[in-house]
Amino acid sequence: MRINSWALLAALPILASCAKDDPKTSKGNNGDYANGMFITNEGPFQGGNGTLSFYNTTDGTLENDVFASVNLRPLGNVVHSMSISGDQAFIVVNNSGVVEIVDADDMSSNGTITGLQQPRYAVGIGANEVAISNWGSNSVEFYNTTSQSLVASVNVNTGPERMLLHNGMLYVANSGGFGLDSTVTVIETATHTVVDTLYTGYNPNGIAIDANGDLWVLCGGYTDWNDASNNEDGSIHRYDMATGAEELGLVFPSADRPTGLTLDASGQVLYYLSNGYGGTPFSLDITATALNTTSLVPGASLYSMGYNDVDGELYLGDAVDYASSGKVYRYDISSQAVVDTLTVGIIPGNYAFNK
Amino acid sequence: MKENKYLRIVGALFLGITSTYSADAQEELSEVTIEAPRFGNARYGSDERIDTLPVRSMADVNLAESLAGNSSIYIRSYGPGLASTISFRGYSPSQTAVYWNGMPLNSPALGLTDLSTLPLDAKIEIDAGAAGSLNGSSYMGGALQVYSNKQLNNDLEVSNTFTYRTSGLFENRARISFKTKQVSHHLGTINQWGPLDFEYTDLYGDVRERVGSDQSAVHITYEGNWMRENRQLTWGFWGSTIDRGIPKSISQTYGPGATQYDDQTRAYVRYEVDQLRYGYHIQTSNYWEDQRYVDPTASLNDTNLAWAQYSDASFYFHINESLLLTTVLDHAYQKVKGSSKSTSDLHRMGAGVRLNWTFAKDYLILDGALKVDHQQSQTPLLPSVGLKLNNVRGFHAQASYRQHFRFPTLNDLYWTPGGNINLSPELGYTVDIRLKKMWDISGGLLSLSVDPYYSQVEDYILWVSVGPFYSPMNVRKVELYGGTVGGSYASSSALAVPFVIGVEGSWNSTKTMESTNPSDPTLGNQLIYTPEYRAALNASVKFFGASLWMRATRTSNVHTTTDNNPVYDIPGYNLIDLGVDYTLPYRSVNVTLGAAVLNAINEEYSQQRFYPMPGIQGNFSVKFQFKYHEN
Repeated sequence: MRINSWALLAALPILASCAKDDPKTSKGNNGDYANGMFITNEGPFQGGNGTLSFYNTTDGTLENDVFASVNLRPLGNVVHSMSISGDQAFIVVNNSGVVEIVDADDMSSNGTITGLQQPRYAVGIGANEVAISNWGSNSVEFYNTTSQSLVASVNVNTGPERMLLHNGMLYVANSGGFGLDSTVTVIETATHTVVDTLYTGYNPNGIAIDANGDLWVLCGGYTDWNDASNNEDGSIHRYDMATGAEELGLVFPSADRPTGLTLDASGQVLYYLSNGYGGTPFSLDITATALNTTSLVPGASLYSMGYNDVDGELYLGDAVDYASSGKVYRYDISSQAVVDTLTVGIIPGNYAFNK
Repeated sequence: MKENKYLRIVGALFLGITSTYSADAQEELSEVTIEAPRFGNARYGSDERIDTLPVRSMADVNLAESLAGNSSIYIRSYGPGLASTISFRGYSPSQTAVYWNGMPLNSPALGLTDLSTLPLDAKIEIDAGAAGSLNGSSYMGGALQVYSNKQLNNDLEVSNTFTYRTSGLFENRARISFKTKQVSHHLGTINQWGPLDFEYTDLYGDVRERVGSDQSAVHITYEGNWMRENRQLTWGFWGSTIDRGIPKSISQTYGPGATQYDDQTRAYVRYEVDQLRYGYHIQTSNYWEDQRYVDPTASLNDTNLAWAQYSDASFYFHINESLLLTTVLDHAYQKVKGSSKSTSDLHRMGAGVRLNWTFAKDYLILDGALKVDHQQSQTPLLPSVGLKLNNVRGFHAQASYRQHFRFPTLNDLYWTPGGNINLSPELGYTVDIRLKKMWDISGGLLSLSVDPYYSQVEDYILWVSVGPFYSPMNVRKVELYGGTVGGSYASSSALAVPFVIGVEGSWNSTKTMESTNPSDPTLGNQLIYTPEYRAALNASVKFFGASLWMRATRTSNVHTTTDNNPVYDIPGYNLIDLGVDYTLPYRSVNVTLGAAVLNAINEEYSQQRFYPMPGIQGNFSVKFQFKYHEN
């Protein structure tokens, strides 16, 4: 039997200290992933596996491929996103069609949900349930996290991606898949039924609720690669949660395809990338009436963005050439400077902060 | 025994450093079809680079397996039954030309050949080196020439070979050949089927069964030739239908039930006239492929159709006893359509002239050529020059400078989204030297050779991310250099236990020199999926009528990321195959029994990340061969 040398090296010190553990389980990073940022790395273009990196915000150490080092198996193909709910974390592996359920603090596997069609994001619903946006079947699947059995399947519109749980309602951004959509589906999680559909801009891909309780929807717009006359601009919208009325709608320059919407800890400032493929980060105060024209990091060419709400840092992902180790730049919002560069896995795409 | 000696000498001359072959392989060599000089035939002038591949006809089930014994070749396979590609000297598969009886086989869409779809019932020539200025697009790293249309020595030949491999594969090859006064006919079928469900240990120590990889392949061939005095007409048809289940790798890329369907037809007809002073040939061929991926769990149904029509006319003329002039005109028409591209087509035309001057009492041959090709708005003009020293006390030498190029493929140009119609062709040059010395020792033949080269390629085409998709760009200047060193010894056939042994090693450095992206991580690094070295040991021995053979290879690790991050490397691996063939002659019937142990050391390895190759396997074959000759 041969074990790949890098996996062996990563696992050796752990194996030595955990001799009585399940031989298939070891504890990387001393089994402590309680404080820091997880970074999902999609994986190389040509058939490789994605990985999960962990940046320990307490001691400043970085560990790559943490899932494999603990569970001694790879995550799968295109590790798309991760979310944390209580003591559980959900790792969504898009091309493999699975969601790995792990202990958020030590990364040990608690089960795998399989048979999904291009899942993109997962959101924990209470202690024993998870909602998964199933991009390939235009549905949201609700699974029991203990038995990994299907609880309910709810049809939504085209290309469901990011979701937001708020007061028992799950807001689902229908990003349009390969085409167009302009809706946010609202699902009551207690009954697993669609209770509302919000019509917004073209291809919504991000949702946030600010300090005033208003709903923000970021829409990426649409590019028709065969006929540019069919292109639609991206936009961002603010809605009154009580009435559903649109309070603000801002349209992006036609070249932009904004993505990566996130909200700071105070709920006062939004952040987004102007484009998910070589864009730069911008901020938007929730009281603003126009888009900022000055980037936080002019000239950057980024693929993804995450937010550390404890330290007030943006994590800016650079996929480099999509075939080599990615870079994540830690950007300190208060000093407006990049304070560190992390070398992570291939194509860093999403972030989950464990605190 | 006399025939064996002859074959060994001819074999050593042709095989050079790779000359290790079984009894059956030697038998194949006796049926070489001698062709008239052709412009694109690098064999003219006894090109020292040309090796004949030792096909293990009682052990190999496709061309990829046979090629693994050549150290200058790198095979990248997704596993048994799945796609396999070939590359020479660090070049990419699309920079490698593959021909079937002179007909280009590289897919017009992808620009490369899947070796797993090429069955074995042919003679294979390997040209590890560039010849773009002689042959046209894609002949950059080297070429494979597959010859299956042979002249028939008997009135009737019938053979059937059945093979079972313990990794879950069955194969049956049947062939009937007969001739009338002037016409030979060859009919053949090759069926391969099986679950290919071998067990493997993954990188994390779990034993898994490869599932979902059932495959079924049927090949039907018909070839013929008509010969009268100095004229010859040859023709052929090859149809194949291949259904192959795509197994889950441990990355579970595909859902259960994912299948790839490959239907292909190829046909050619060639007319040759070979006078003493002059000759010509006219050839036309047609290629069609329908490749479909179906994945029910991902609602994927991807169809790709491609056609190609190739025609060429070549003329040669001996100006005098020393000078030979060869010219060629060629034309290609290629067309694709499919799920990811609208119907697109293009024409390509080329013309060339070549002059060979033999002098110094036939010891030296000076060779010069100029070829021009045109595709869309691109018209590369490529010269080449070479000097060869013929056998001087067993010493052979050859040096050449050859430019080469590769036009963008139809996928490069028209894939939606991302196709780039503004691509320039890749352009490069290679300087080759080959030195070989042969000695007659105790009735045997010892051969040592060294084959260094240096290449550069500009406008290297690479698919890069330009947004939410990839697009091909001319992004790099790549430098390639390295070489092959080897030796072989074929003992005297008069020995009680005659044997042949050959060993060789190849080293290739393939690195990016310049890039349009100044922060390109690949700058100064080895390109992905190009091993730095391979080594091979081939040996065979005759013992009480049986032929025992072995092949051992070492392949270095390959990088899968452009920054050569060792974490993502595919580890190097060693393979050893052992086998024995025994032929029982009975009147006009030969029955050959073959048994082999493949991957005898049970190496756990892969050539593509997370797509395992089988461990130790048994391979059992039985072949019946009937030959009838009226006189």
